[in-house]
Amino acid sequence: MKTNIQKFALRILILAAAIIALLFFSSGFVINIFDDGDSSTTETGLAEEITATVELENDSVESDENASQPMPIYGNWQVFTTEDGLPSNKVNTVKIDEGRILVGTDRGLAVLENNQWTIYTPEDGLAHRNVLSIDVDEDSGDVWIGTMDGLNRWSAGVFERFDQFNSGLANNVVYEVSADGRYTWIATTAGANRYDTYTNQWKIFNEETSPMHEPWCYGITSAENKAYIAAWGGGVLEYNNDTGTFRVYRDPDGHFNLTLFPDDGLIHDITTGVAFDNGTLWVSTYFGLGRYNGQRWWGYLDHDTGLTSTFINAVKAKNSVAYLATDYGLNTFDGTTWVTYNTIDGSKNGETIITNGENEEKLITDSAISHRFIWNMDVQDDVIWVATSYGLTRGVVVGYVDETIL
Amino acid sequence: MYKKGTVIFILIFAAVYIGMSLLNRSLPDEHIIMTRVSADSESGLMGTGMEKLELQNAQIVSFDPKKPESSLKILTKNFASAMSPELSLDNRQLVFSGKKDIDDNWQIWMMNLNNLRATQITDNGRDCFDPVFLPDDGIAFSCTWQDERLGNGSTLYTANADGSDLNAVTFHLHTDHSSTMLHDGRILSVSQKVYPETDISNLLALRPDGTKSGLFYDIPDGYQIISKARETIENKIFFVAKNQQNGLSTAVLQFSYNNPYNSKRTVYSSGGGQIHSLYPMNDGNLLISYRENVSDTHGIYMLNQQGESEPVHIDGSYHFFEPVIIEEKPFIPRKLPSALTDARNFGIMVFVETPQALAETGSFEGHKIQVMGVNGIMDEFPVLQDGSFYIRVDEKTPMRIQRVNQDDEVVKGPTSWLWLMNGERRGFTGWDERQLNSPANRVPEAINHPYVEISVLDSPVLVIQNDEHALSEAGYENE
Amino acid sequence: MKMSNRLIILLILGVLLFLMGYRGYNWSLDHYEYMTIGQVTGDIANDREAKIAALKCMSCHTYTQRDGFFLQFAEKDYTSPYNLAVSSDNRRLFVTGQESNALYIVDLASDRIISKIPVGDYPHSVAVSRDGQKAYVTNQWSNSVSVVDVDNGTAGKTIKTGGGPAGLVLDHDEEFLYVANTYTSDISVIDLNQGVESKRLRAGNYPTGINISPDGRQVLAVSQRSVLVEYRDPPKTEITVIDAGTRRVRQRIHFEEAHIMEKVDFSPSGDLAFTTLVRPKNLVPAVQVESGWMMTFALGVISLETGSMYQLPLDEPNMFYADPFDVRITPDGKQAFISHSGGDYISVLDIDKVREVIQQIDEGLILNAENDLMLSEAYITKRIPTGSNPKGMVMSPDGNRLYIAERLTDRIGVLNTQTLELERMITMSSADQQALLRRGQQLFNNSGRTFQNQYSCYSCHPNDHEDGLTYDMDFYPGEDLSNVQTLRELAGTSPFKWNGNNVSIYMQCGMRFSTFVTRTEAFSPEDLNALVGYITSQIQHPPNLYRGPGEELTEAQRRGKELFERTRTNDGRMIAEIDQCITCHPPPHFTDRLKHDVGTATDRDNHTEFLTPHLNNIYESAPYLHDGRANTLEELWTIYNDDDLHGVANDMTKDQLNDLIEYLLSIGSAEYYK
Repeated sequence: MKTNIQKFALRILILAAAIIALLFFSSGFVINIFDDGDSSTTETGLAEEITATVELENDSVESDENASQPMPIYGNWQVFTTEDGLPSNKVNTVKIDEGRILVGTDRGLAVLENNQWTIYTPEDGLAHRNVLSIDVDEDSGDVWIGTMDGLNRWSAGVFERFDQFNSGLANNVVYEVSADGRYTWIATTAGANRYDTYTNQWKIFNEETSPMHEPWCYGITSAENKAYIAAWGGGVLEYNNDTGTFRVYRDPDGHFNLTLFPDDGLIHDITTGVAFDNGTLWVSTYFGLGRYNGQRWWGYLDHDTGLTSTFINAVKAKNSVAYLATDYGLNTFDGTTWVTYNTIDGSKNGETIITNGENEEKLITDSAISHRFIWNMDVQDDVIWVATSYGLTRGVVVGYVDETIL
Repeated sequence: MYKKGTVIFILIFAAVYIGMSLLNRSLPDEHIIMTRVSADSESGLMGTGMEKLELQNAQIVSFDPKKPESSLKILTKNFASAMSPELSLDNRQLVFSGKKDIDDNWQIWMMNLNNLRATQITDNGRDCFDPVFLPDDGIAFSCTWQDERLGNGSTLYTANADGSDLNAVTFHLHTDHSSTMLHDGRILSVSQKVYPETDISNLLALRPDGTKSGLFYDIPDGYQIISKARETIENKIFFVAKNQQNGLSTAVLQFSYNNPYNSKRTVYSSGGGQIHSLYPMNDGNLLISYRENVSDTHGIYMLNQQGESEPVHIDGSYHFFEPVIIEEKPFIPRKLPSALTDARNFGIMVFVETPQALAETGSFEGHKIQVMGVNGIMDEFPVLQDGSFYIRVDEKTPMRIQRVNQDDEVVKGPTSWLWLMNGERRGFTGWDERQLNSPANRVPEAINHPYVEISVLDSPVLVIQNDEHALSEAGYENE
Repeated sequence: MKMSNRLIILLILGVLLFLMGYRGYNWSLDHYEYMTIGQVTGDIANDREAKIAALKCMSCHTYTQRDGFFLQFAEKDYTSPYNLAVSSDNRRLFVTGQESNALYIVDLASDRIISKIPVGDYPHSVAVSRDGQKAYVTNQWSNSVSVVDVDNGTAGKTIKTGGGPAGLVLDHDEEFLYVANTYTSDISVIDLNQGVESKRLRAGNYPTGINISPDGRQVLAVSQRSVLVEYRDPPKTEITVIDAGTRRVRQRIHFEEAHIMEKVDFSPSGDLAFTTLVRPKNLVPAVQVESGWMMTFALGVISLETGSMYQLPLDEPNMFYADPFDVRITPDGKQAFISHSGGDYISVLDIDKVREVIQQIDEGLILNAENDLMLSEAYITKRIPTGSNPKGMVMSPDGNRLYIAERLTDRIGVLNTQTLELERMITMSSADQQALLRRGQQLFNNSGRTFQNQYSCYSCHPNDHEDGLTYDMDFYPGEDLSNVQTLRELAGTSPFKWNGNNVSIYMQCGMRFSTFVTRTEAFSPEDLNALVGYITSQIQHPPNLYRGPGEELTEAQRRGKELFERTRTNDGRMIAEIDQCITCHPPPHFTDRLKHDVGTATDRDNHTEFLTPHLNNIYESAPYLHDGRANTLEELWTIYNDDDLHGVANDMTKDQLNDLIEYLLSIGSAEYYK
């Protein structure tokens, strides 16, 4: 009987060792090969496009990512709803374009200029009333508008429409658009696009033409001649515009919804947004926030950091500060300090919570953001505009985080 | 042996060649050909249109303006009467209207100017007059028609130079006469509506195949055109008109082909004297038939652009008129192609409203288009929202079109008589017959629907039938 | 051999020769009739004298062969002056030689060409710096701007631009150069200090002319083609207004029912901008030419203060002045000059009268001005005849002289703006302007062969290409609409027309053309020979924008080619030969020259089969399909191919369709596929 037990125990031991080896081994292994079956490196001759392997050195060198400027604190929240002229209170996105504010709602595009709202609907040429994403090209000033049924280029008052029938647009549901001079990058439900505005040519990235596990793309951004695509369930793809090659960042824990080893890679594959600023790539997911400085990853969850919720709809980044649109308030984070802005149930006041490591400071403010479910935001100089599921909110910098508070 | 033979051969060939070309010489250049009647025959002289058919003992003569007395030659010796000479484009042929015996009908004759031999071109029971050469060496001319109810008028015909392939080309109830050729290849005729009667004559232009016939120039108020209208190399068009109040006072009027309605100019007003006819010459002067006062006879004068005239040939015992001069033609009219086909015995017409009419009228709710034939309304149909209509009509059916409002009051039109040839397509922009607006670039709503087929009432047959030779009443049912 | 035998042989030979001759003669007549008149109704077909007179085997079988042996002897070194500039000291005239690929500098004192500077291919326009030291030339077929050092007469530097650079203009500080890129429909903003394009702005469709306002604050770019509009909507063509401060597009304004704007100029006071316009009637059934039913021409006027736009007709009720190209305003703001490149005229306009008419329009006293054929009498003071194809013009700084580039006579006309008389002619080349193919080029660009001069071949085929519009030409209005096709490199792609009825370009431009299109006397046999010779052998495509000569296919283009030539669907099913793209579209012309039913006929078409169009440089030819319903190539398979009749495509994924489009864009001239 004993030998059976010993045999049995030996077998358990071997099995455990195998699992541990597997886990350890997988994090350092080429991510895109380790996959659950339908690996994205299919046989359609795409191998030559994937080169880089993800080397995750877990060196513990703390790169000096504390930004030089102090962390801004926003306040004096001003709320805009349909009473003020918005076509709907469901505000999907917002973009500051020099002297005007472009607001994407589910009932059209609203433009605030000289305190005057102008509403644009499909009758004016908008592709669809539900505006999901907006970006402005710095050079030409052209506005790119992603909607539920096609993409618009809105240039000096004229709407031009691209859709999957009259162009190479991958799909008509356009979650994110990023205009970068010559190229406009577009995230749709059936893959991402690079549209060359000089030659009117389209590149499509989907599961056939790229190591994208899932073509359902929520986010996209471009910087320093690279594009970052947040593919829902497929992690983040980095595309090099010069070489035409990809790097793929996936969650080493695969589908385990727990993080066995902290900061071992992308926090989760179900990504919803990407932002690149000052050499740092921020990735929002439905399961926490990821940050990557080109050498190492950080993953943030809500239970052990100042992150107000792991369910993050979108991320923006400016001057080394990340802005997170969560389902439970607006979060900002500069690598060390978190600031959370939230509403207080049953009260007109708002709360601002500043967290740094163990220290936490909670301030009650007279004004509050219009709703705690945040879809998106945009920041310029010391103004922030926040798109929420009930109304639009404008905030200004009212102070900065300094040692005294923490 | 070889050389002599060739030399002889060349000599013979040269002789024959020179002989032939000599023979082929037409009347020398600068010769003027005109019509002449004796001083006492007034009837038909100052009339136009069909009044001229009353001219008796008229002769066509030619003379050299440098030696007017000695060189006068009668070209139509054995004719009871001959008038309206016109030269062919190469000045080798002369076409005119003549009658061998006094009670013959006027018929069209063609004279070879080398041997002065004339051959009869038309042979039918009507009076045919005012012939003119077409650029494809055919001819166009007028022939009369009579109808108890409708009155008397004349229709334009075309035919080959030998009289074959006779085709009627106007189908409205008008008197069409005094035809000349425009540079652009269209026939330009004086046209007066017979039914319902008016005394206004205007200039009509149409393509030699009878298509696109329409108003070319509205004679200015207070004037009545009494001569042919002739175009010059600078695209100026000259004609003689008499003052409607004082029939004795006549003037030479001129307008520009490019822009007829913005360019009227009076070249010469005769005050008391009477101008009968004119012919513009290459040097810019005009040959006119003119008399100082009623008691004189018409002589041939040269009128310059400033209105000063000097006599060329006057003879107290004869009236000279309808001068033409033998000189190189300033232009060869374009030979217009024809898209007509026997495969279709109907034509189609598209009418579009002008934007300003749409603005004025607002809505055409309840309005109707009425297409009227000779014997009353043939068809009517509702007006579309943009006021356009698209109809198909049997070929050569005279019709007038008008628009009536909800209370059946005529608000637009009736137009003058229109017709469509076999396989003709034409368009109208608005109701102003001068057609001075190009259409707006929109799809006329009418062509998004099938065409309206106009049911045609039979109308009197006024044109020459193929088998018609002897003088016979035009076959038709009155009512 | 006795005398008699020799005589018998001679006799037999004679009879044989006679029979062959007779037989050959008849065959050649039938061959000629088949190739030129085709099965037309009797009255047109039996014009025998014209046939015999026209019978020149040489013209068909030499000049019209695209790479025929005799072509090498045809006159080639034409200058074809296209656009002009003048130095601010009025001493030098700069001339772009479109067909000699050179910039000419003419000394205006002696009328002598003092330097001929080779630049890129197909130079379009030239701009000169205020100090006269530098000249900038747009090379339309090299996608670049040459920077010419005027004094030592060399084109040292070239700057890359978008596709098909045409008009260009310097800003007032001469720091930025704005270039209108016709083929890529955008505007290059070149930073002259860096010598590099700093940004590109979206323009209208096929932008050509560009100019800066007198106060230097705004740059206006006008375009040739209508923006792509809804099917059977009137064309509308964009003027792009750029803020010279932010160097961004501030406004896009459109002329409705108009297109082919080629140049733009300003009143000296800067309150009005003027451009030349063509007003096509493509939506109106082409039942006649009279009264401007096919085409009219206008002066576009924009009030820069109020933004109101006016279209003032340039024609007269019975005379049309085709293809206005350039418009120049005298420094005193009193007169405007317009070069009618189709009518061979210069129109002189009194601008004060233009202002009066505009005011009356504003006050509602004149309605429907843009279609009023009588209106031009109010402001046109003179029409001055010129040589063949007057194009670009330039005003001397003092306004006393107007220089006119006569493109197809290789001359520059000098007009005295006081006496309104042509003073003298500067000849730019000694080439024979009456050579057959040059005459053909002149005929192509001249409206004299249309009833009342209403339009030339150029009017619907600008730059020997197409105008992007669909016309209503057939017998029954609204039926069998036809999308204007390019005339570039047609040799070897007969028959022609969407119904494939015209066997040769002879037939296309011969009797039927005059009967159904120009509605006036047909071309004489000699002229027809010249015109057909020019169209067949002289018209070329600009270089393909997506794949240069000799370049390899990109990855996407290669995958697209595989799809184009695939014989199986994605899931392995065999594709019938008739449904494979390569079957109907084989290289080098990518047409089998046959008619097919690809399911694109509508209920307004009387036949379902259409001739396979050639696909060389197909990217230049939007919109697509016989009636222009498809605005982009993608739509051919996403909207108009539900039943896989136009190639099997419904199994393709979106990226596969995108690859197929990439390959189609890369198809260049036929010579690369021979």
